Amino acid sequence: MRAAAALMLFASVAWGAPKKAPQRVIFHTIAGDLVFALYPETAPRTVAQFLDLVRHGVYDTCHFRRLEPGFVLQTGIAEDRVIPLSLLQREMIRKLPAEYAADIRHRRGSLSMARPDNDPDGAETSFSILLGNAPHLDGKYTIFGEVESGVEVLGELEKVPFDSNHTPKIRLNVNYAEVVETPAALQAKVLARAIPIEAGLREMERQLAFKGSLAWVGLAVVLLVLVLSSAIAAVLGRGLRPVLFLNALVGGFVLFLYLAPLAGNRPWLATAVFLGSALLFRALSFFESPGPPKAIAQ
Amino acid sequence: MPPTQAAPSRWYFVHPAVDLCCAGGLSLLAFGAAMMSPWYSESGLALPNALVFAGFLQWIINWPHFSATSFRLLSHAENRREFPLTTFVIPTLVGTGILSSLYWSETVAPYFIKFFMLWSPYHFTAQSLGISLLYARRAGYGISMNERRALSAFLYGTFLVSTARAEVSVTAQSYYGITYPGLGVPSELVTILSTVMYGGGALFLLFALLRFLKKGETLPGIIVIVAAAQFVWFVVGYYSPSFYVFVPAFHSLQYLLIAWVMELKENRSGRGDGKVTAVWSLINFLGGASLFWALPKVVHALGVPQELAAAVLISGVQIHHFFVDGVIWKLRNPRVANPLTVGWKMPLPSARRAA
Repeated sequence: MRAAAALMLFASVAWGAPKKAPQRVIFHTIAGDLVFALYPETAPRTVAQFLDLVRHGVYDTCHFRRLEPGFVLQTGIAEDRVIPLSLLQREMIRKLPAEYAADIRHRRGSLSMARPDNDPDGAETSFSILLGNAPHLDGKYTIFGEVESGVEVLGELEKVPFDSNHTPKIRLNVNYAEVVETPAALQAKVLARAIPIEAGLREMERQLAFKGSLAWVGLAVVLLVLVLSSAIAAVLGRGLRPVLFLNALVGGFVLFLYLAPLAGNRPWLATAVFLGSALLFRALSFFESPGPPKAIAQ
Repeated sequence: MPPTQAAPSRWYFVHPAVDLCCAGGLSLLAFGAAMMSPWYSESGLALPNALVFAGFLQWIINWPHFSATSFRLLSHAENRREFPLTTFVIPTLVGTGILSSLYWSETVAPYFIKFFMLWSPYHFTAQSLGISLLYARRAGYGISMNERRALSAFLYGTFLVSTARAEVSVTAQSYYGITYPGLGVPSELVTILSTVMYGGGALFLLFALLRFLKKGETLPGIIVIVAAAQFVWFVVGYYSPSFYVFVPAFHSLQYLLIAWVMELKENRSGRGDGKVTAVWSLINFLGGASLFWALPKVVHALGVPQELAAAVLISGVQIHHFFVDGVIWKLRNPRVANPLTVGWKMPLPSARRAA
């Protein structure tokens, strides 16, 4: 036993096993949790950006868009998430230069950055988990880490049927990703074991639907409160005008907050938000406005 | 020394050239110079010297003009009494918006800043309209409702056209390092709004021409200057970045002339105009520096990232200013209209009359 351990240690030293970062990244997928170890000395910039993006939620609700059993399981680009990236998240994504290491091979469990075919320095967010050895990729794609735990989760993901383009027939979502800063913190984590894919999918859809409904319920509550306060002021016969104006300001801004993020791909909504804002500014100019003009003293 | 009461009313406050320059003439001259000179840059970026000079003007013109609004509201008991909601409730609401933006920096802050970005050019336009109506009244050129609508269509059209043009793209913009989105309005909207703008301008000029032909009344040149300046600022000047960085200063100059005149007119301290001017200027310089330089630093010292503190606080201060400005300067209010439209002339040495 000791001899085998010593042999493995010698082998890893001889073959230059990459040094791992103290942090671990956990991808909470619909099939269970995958734990990634990263190689900061081999691919420093790639690892730095990957950690940064995970910390800022860029990989939350992304998915594995390409499945070739025995070869790769590849994520989509971050822009292809269920929940659109925020502007700050988009600003964080940078192109990464190639960081090849001659002594590190593409083998099952390796994490390898995807990139456009004609741009070796074009990697950004999409990456592959190797499902088998792929020596033909060595020296062409940046290896930045490995799957340290969750092999059985990979097995569940590999079972998903796919079409002729190797697109999984079920969206293989990453519910969220997180960075665990220390080994001690990782020890304290309770990792989800491999779960049958269908159960994971139903759970994710339930969570997303709940969050989306919560946001719209929040908006409805705010607007209801504003309408009620106006109605109360009208019934009491006091302060209706200022209450209406204040409610217009608050309600207008809250509506803007909800609708402006949705306007980007909807020209009609963008127009409504734009013109509605202008009308709101115009209306607010009458706030605490004096009555009709009186004769000017000469 | 108290201001001299001139027997005939004058359309200007200080001197024709001074009023014309402050109302927008200076900006037209600057734009003309920029277009004809080596300053003109097609690179899409303002020249470094222009940025430095605009930054200097920010301290002595832009920021004080914000302070002057709050000073006018808070230092006059009549204003506090007449506008209690503006005095007490609006700062609370704006403060809530600021705190929400600082707390939810990714979901609220970009849209708080966006809201300010949309409101800002509207505010510039509303001021231009107010100043046009003020000078028209002082010049004895009564503006009918139809003429007002035509002028408003032109002036507000400049705001709508320039803003819609900027909102065609969904590409994120940056304000003090905080990105905010574009809306993505259709380009056809820009065309429609341009038609409204040019139509309103043409109609107003037609009305003016008809008045001249029928009644011999000449449209005061300062109204044309204000309208032309507004057009240059938003529709044309946009394409000259080295000029465009000065637009806030020109807008502030418009405001400061009126606010200063009002301060002198309402002076009850017994102090001379020079002292009142000096005190008022110092207060507003310090007030502006406090709001725009010191306050973001204080918030940053409390742990908020510097860019976020600057972007959110500066947006919030300006939103507050837009609100207050729209309330306290209504010409419908006799306390505003009387001092500004009754004949009054600033006693410059060359214009001083024998007692």
